[in-house]
Amino acid sequence: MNLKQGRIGYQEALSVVTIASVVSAVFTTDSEKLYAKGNSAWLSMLISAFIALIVFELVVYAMRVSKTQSLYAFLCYGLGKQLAAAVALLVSGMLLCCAVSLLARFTLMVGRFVFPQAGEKTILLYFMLAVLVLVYLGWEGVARTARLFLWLLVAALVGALALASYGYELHRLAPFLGDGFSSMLQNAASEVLLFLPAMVGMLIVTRGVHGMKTAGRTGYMAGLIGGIIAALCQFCVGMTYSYQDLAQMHSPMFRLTMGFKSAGYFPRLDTLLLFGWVMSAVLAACYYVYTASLMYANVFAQEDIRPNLAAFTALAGGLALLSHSGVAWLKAALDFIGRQGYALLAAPLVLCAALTIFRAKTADKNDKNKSEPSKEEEKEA
Amino acid sequence: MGKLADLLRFDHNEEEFELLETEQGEPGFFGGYPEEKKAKAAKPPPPASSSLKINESRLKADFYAEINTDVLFRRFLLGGRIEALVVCINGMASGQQINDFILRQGMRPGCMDGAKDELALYAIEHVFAQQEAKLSGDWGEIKTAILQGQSIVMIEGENQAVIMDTRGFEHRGVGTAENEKVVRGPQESFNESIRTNVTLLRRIIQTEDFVCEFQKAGAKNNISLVVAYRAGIVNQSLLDEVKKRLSKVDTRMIIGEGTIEQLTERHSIFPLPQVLCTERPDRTAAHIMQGHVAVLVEGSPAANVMPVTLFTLMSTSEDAYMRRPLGMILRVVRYLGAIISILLPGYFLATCLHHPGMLSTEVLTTIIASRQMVFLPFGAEVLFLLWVFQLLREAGIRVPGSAGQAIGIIGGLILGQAAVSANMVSTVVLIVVALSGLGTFTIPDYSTQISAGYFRLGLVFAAWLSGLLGFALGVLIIGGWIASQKSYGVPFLAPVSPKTYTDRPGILRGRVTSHSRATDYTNTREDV
Amino acid sequence: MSKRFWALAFFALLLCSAGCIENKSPDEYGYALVIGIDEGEEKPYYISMLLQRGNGNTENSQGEVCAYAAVECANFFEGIDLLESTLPYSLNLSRATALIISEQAARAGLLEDFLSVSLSTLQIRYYANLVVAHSRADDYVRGLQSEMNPNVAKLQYTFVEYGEITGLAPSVTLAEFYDRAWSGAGSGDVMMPLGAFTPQDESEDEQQPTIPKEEKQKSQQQEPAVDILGDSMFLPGSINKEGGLESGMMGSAIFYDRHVVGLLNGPHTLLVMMANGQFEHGRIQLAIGDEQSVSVSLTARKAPRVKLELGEKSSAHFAISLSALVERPEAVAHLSEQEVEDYISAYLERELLRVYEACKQQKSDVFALGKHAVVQFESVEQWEAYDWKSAYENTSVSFSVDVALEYNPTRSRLE
Repeated sequence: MNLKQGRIGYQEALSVVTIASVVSAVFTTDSEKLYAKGNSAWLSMLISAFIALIVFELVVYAMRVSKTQSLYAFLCYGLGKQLAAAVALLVSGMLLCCAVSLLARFTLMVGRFVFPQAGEKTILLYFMLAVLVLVYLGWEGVARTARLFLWLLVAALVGALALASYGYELHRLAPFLGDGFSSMLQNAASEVLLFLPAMVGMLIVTRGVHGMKTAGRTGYMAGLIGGIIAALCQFCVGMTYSYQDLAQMHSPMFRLTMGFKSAGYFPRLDTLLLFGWVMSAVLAACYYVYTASLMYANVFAQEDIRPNLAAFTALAGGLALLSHSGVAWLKAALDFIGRQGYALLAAPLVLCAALTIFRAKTADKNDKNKSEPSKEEEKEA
Repeated sequence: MGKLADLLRFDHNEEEFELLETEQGEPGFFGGYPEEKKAKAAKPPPPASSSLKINESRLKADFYAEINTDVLFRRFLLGGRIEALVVCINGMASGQQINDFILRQGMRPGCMDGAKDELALYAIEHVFAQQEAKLSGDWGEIKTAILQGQSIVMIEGENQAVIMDTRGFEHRGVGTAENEKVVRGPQESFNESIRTNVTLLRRIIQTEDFVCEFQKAGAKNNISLVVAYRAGIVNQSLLDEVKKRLSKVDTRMIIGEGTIEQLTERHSIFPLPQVLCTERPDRTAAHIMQGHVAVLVEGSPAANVMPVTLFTLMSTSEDAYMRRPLGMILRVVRYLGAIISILLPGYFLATCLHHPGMLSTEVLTTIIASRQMVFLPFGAEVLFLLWVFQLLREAGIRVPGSAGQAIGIIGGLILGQAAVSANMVSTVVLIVVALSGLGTFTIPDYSTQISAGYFRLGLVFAAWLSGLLGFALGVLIIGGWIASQKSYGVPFLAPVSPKTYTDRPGILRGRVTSHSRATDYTNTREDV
Repeated sequence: MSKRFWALAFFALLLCSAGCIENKSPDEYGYALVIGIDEGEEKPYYISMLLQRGNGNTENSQGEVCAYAAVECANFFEGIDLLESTLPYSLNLSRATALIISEQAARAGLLEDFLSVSLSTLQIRYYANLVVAHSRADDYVRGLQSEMNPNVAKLQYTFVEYGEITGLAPSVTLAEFYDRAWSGAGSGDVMMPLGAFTPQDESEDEQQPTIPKEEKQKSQQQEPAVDILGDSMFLPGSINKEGGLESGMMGSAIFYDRHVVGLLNGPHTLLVMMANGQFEHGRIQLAIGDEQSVSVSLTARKAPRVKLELGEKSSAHFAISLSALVERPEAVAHLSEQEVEDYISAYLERELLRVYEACKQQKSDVFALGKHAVVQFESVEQWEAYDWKSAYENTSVSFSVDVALEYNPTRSRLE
């Protein structure tokens, strides 16, 4: 068996999942859609995280009640083997899409802001090389690297927000509710896809985190922290630029640090901060690639994860490159996933959770009924 | 004509000895010959005979006594009547001990009068006044004992030899640690005698569960090693793993602990060492007390301690002897030095070549001014200076005596200045590389210092290729590689990643009073 | 061949496929520190640049710290290509810390065209300061050189700090300009620092000038500045300078949308900054009692509070809190503390109203009332349906300035 899983502790697990959750939520948003009708993203992110937490907790509860120890086992328990395989592959695909969107977005950022003369292919190949090497180190390697670099990544994010604090003005968030509650809720629903995959990924690697309890707790904390940080970042970004400006920017976080006004060294930190985010994005991509590969391996009962890791990395890189080429079908697919992906991911999980809870409760009841006559018999005796 | 013809001939000179090109068959594409089939394992030799004459002739044959004149065979009459033979190696065994406690004791008339059947046992108990004496009939053990400097006495009619520890070979005394100097703390260091080294450890660890297991190193030169640990606290699986790896050692020669380290490590391509090699008994003892296992090798003035983490490699014994604030400062400086050493050249190259906007105007104009007539490309300049620095370093180590220091001064000052004046390098790059080099010397462990050079070089190349993108990804890959490595089952970056319990921080110094528990990652059996 | 060998070979191949990202040694670039934008004679733009060359430490450093280059072009990208084709190094704009546009070009809307291109591809930083020059921009650019300090970037930052210390000139970065000029009415209009070029007298210095005589005459022929309130008292007056640094600050240029519509002198600029929250410290001269000119140092105590009521006739009230220090207290020793405060408050309220009306006439919302308007709407749809620009033209304001005197002029010096 060579699933390269190993065992990691609570802090490492929390580090890697939080990084994945935060990086996805902060950097892979579609600005045009998010800010088209005002800037209520700072509120909608909180709502999305909340929805994702509810879905996640429901699944964790169902897994606990059914005593299943991994997501695939849970899906098999709730939906049966065939349907479980289909849903598992869907989950795997969604995780891969998260990796693709991260790679695509950061390739764009690095290409646009740092190396305008280099092509996307060149930059993406560097990313892929790093992802391939890191993901081959296995779950332990990825998680421990995340724990090691966590402070650097927090500093890069908090540093960016702090540097830009001179220019925060509340009026730029106005109108404060964007275009009203309904559009905010619509945004919130589609943004669930920014948080849920990272949390669900934890349920795939339960063995690597010493069991369901740690996996559940870690996923919950990651969702909570991710939601708060994403909302904070949107709040700060919203106080720096109005929604009309934001709708034109594909990387508002980077633009946040570009406008810093000072004679010292701070104005030049924007590139350094960007590469702090690049490191976190690579770690997050590794996390998604690994969990997607492991889910795939579970479905087909594979014992060696290494071919999956290589294949999924290549696939993620290839799709990211294609997304820059403006391929129509891919664009349409990504748009669809961006709009409806949350439903694709959450609906089967919620359905499975409901069925699992029902089945488990029924089984419990039957067990209790079976044990009761023996008590009556004892009384008679 | 004949002489002329000889002069112009290109024939192989028959007088020259040829060793390599004498094998039969076709060599491989990359050189070398296919491995010959391993010879079948030799049958174990028969045990010692009860005939003294047979034993003597066997020993003489095995030791090539006719030409190996330092193997001494001394016949004497035990108790004045029983034929006996003492065999030892001249120079390895102590002649005085043999004379005083074996020959003189054994030659006393009537000393064997009470002996009935077991002559050898009687001799041990009543005749030979040696503190360490045992019986053995195993031929291999007998030969090994002789080779180690012990003396064996063979008695007519006995098929067991008396093996007595009469080692008295010349060895270096207990000196000071040359490579791990400290200002405060013990100054003793290990030497080449394994017995002395074990003694040095026993003087510090005076507990009854401190075990020193002697065993063969697994080499054909038959040297021994010692596995030292505290049996009461060491994790049994760790100990088993150490012994398992040592048992798999089967090599031609082991000279020092470095060979053992390489033969027992799992990740040979990983630059950082997976054991701590120290010449200090206090440091070794401190680790043994924390549940680590130490391996000492005969003839090597150092111990291998396992498992090890990066933080162990970055600490010195002096950290524990200094007060906490001072220890913390030392550690912070050390870590900063290591970080600067590895990251600075690559970061500098990345910003200068790819991101000049990140540099302040003052620095940028200084770089431009200093590089105006330099002909080397920027990246090549950095690599060239790194290489020159390594040259100076090696030269300073290899050149004996005070000239070694002079090389450093000459190289550092004069060569550097001359290189700048000759427009081979620029001043700013020289300063950066010099700072990086100085930072390397803050790393206490020698192997780790060399490893830092590898990482530095990798990052310089990455920065040259793709600026901060390559640099950042290189740092990530190196960090990930280190984080994923293990030393005897312990992750290399414990207790930071993974986060294990520790009552002292990895980088900063904890309070001495709080060093009450063993290190968490060694999983000791109890808190002592 | 071991698996490890093939794995390493694969990674090496992958790296080789990625290739190197093009790089240049820092000495192969010319770093543009300041960029000037004028109207061209034959083509739309006349772009000028100050390129950092040395660090002033070489033997013949005078006049050689920066190089000047200028070209006429159809657009900025063409200008860069033309300059690169003639210069022995590649242009690097990532160090550009100031963009200077001539007043003429700014009134004609050239800035809007110039900034509508994607400057991020040129790697011009968004914290670069924008300055409107009451002269030709290329003169102003060349006038930024000085023997006092070869570091033009540092000099340029000092101008920015000047505004903060004295309150007489604002500072606007590219990011701020984009925010206010392109994001609709919700942020107010831009007030950009106004630069002045005061050429040196050539007879004084043989080593200077940096600018040929006939070039200087172009700027000298410009009309003297008069601001929108009709005042002609501008900074820096006639300041004698030697050794370069012929450029300085005058006040501010106010924008409507992305065009310059008027100028304000320093004291008027100070008042606008007081009202829109940019003011920190400053000094005014006013008549108090019998004294014609008393110098009063002002410090903002807190951000101004603005109450805006939208309606058919909108009205706004500014509440400004300042602390004041009379710098020659004996001049007003005969007045009580309250009287002095009242004098200062009345003066400021009067002047603020004057300046506001003048700016409103030019339709320029430099008082940033727009940002107070936008917060009153609940949805984007409502805000976008509301015509704030028209409403602004009918908005009346009142000011209440609360002045707290720091030094009590009625006490004696001994006390």
